[in-house]
Amino acid sequence: MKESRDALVGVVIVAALLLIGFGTLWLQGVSLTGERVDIEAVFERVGQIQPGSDVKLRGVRIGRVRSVEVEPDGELVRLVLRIDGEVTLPEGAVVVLSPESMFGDWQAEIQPPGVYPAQRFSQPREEGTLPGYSLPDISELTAAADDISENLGILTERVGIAFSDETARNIASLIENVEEVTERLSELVSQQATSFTDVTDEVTRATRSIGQAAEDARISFGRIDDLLAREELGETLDDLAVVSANLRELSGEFRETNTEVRQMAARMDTTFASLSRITSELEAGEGTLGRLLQDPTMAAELESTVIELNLLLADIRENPRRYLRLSIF
Amino acid sequence: MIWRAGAALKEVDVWLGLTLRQMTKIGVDSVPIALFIAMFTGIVLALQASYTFTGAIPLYFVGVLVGKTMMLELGPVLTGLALAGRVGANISAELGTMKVTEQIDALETMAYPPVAYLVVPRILAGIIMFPIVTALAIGMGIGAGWLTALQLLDMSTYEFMHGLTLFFLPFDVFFAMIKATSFGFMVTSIGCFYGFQTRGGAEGVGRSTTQAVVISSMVILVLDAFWAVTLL
Repeated sequence: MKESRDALVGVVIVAALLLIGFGTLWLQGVSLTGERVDIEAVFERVGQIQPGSDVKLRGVRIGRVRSVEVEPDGELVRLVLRIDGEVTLPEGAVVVLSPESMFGDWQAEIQPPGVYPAQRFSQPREEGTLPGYSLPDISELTAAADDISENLGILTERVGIAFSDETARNIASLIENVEEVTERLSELVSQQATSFTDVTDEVTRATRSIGQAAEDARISFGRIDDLLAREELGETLDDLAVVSANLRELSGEFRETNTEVRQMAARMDTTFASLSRITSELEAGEGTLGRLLQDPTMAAELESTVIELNLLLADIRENPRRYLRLSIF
Repeated sequence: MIWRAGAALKEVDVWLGLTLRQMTKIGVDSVPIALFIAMFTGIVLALQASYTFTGAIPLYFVGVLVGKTMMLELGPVLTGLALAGRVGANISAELGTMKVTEQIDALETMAYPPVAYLVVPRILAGIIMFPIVTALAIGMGIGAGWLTALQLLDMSTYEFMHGLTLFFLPFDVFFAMIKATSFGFMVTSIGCFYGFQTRGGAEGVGRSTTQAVVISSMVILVLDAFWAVTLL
């Protein structure tokens, strides 16, 4: 009886001690299986983080905050994070402390670098310690909101002062003007809509044409590809070489002909200059022919002379002996 | 009384064998009532927490409330009060009866040191077993709260455990054990004191028993406040 009573006491005590021991370890998140490693991070301030808070990587809990201690110089706060040893942290990882909810529970989240580029992370003095940054907690946000609210109140008060009857009339006038401008803009838009439709149609047509041209070009390129692929191309190139040689020869001949033509032109220039000079003398009435052309009297005389010559010739034909006497001896 | 008990600690051969028996009476025999109280306390806590948290506060705070309340307050205090009624009354009545029937005088006559023989085993048993019973009660209360959350509040185990671990500190367990130890010491000391002070037969035994329970309960609440002020 006594032995069973003693055993019962022992069982109760052992059960209670096991409950206390394992319960405490479990609630602390201490893993009794698997490797755990400690990493450290430094912060300017840590909000409401405390030992036991979650440590997360990409939203998944990988450990807990083990300790929170102010550095001896009082400049920084050092956190020791106990995490799963099998987890590989991102290169250059940083630690961000943030509220997990609005009720005071905070978490330490390990992030890749660059997630919060605008924030100034506390830089550790030694290697192996991660930089850290703490987001503002709800009290700081509330204080900031309070400042904003106060500024809004001042602004509202000033607007109230500035908003006189005259201001109201001006604003009413401004609104009317805006309405008018809006109507005009509406009309303009209606007008431009038609033009825009036309332009759109033309653009559509042009696009189609471009498309068709592209199609033709594609076909042409296809044909060129075919042509390039054929064996006749060599012969064609040979013919082209012959044609090119002929053209080169013809060009030489052209060059010679051109020289001759150039000489002929020079001679013609000389001839035309002589003709021009003669024409000028004729117009000036110089010389016999000029006088003949310019003097009507002389023309008349010449005409009468011709007539008389004709009469003389007629008379010579009729009466040759009167004018010609042939004697051989 | 306390001073005399401290002085009697040197008589180890007298109290050592009796302490285990008192541990059974004070501790093991008190486990059922302590677990019963803790179980219903855990259930009520979970239900009241969910009733209170309806709306903006997430439901996993049920786990926070059940865990923190059971560890820091209700576990030690309710167990202490229950054991004050059961153990304190038992000690006071037993020693009071021995006193009025002059059994204690007989012990002295036979050269048995009454304090080492009667008081020290009870106080030591109270100091050892009160934290043990309190730890089991806390575990029962949290377990009952968890089952209530699962079955009646449509919460998941993860939600409840997340809340339970959210603000947990090892100091919470230390705080509960400190309180339970102090309660054990005071309840047994007061029971022994009033038992030894019993006068006037059966009526005196009843009176001293009542006084022991009442004073023990009051001291528990005063100590509860004292530890809260000094340790939290």
